[in-house]
Amino acid sequence: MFKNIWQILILIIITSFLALLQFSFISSLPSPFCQINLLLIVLIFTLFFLDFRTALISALIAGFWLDLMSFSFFGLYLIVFFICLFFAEWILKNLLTNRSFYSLLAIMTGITFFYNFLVATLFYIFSAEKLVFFLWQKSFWLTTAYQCLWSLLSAVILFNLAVLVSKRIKPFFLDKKSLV
Amino acid sequence: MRIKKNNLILIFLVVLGLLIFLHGVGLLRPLENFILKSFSSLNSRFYSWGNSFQASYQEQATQESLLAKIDELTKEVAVLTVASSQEQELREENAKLRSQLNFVKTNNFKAVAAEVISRESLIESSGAGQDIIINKGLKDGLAVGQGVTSEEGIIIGKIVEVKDHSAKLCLTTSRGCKLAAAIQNSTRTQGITDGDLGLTIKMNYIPQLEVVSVGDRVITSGLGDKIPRGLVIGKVIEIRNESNEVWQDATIEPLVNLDNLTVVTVIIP
Repeated sequence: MFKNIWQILILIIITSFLALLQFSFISSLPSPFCQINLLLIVLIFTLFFLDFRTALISALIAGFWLDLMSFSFFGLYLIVFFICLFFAEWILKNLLTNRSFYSLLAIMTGITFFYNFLVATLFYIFSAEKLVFFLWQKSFWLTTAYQCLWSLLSAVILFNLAVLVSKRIKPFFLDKKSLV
Repeated sequence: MRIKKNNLILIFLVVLGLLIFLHGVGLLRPLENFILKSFSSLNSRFYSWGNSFQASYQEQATQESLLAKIDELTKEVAVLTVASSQEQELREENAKLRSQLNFVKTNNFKAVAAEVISRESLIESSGAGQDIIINKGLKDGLAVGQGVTSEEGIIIGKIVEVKDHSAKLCLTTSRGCKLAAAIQNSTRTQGITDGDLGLTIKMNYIPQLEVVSVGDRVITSGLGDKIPRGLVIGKVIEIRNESNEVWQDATIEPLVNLDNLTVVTVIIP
């Protein structure tokens, strides 16, 4: 029990630190570095390499921090992270069932796009001023493209690191011998 | 396994609902304020690190010494512009007061320094221009509509939302950030400035009869009750003047780089 509490405490500290980093440090960087969606990358990474429970707890902490510090309606990031994680988990269980490099790339890119779409939709629905619909805005597509690129890059780096550490990961390429 | 996973989702949804409810009724406010205040200095530290990275990233793109010189001269020009503008205002005010011996008015404004802790994401800003978040709020006397200046005294925006220990401000280049302004020309043209795509400032609907020139300084007119008169907004860099139209438009360039702000001053009336 104490081990569990200790693990959760470490998770809270790490996720909180990442949330502060995302909110303050990354937002101050020049473009395209400010488009790194560090929290989403870490959440998908946690879901992919660890388990749904850990990812869900991380999402709760990260969403709470972002909702606390930002000026959007409270609960926006909590809801978005939950939906993205739930969707990612469904994809991993039903579509991309092997934990391979390609599945990580696909899930990182897909969920990043889905996250941006969800956030933009909720902002558009709940914003007081009705600006131009986000799908017609260049900034939305540019931000999404940059975030997807960063997600792909981080997927490559994280997968390489994880392969060194864990044997649970499938190889990069399909084994030709198994196809014959 | 499935039941366990469903339980997990249910627990998460319950916690989510509880957090939103508690926040809505205000029961979470003391905890939120404590957390925000405790981590405010860390936020500002992270932001300034990121900003210094931005400054060095920009310097590497061109010749270092020239950039440093340009930066230094730009700051000097901004300071001199403010001083010159204030001197002109004082001269005109002095002349007016001399002719109106019964007129007495004093403006007492307080200034609160604040650090920038975050910049809104482009998704959140919906392409209107990125707003910034500072680490002072209601508890420090801030309120919606108050003007915010840079270190050089040039107005860079106004407060649009405020919490207990933080505030969000729109930059003058953000669409929707309107300021009551006056051009320092012969006719003292009055108008409203608005941001344009996060890059420049526009003043539209200037009557054709008004004589506006490139280089004219634009200041706050003081017609809004919370932003004092005389704060420099920028200078006119372009005028769109079609003879067959009723109005003319002016494009105004801010005198400070709004991407490199780390410390700002809130003017509290």
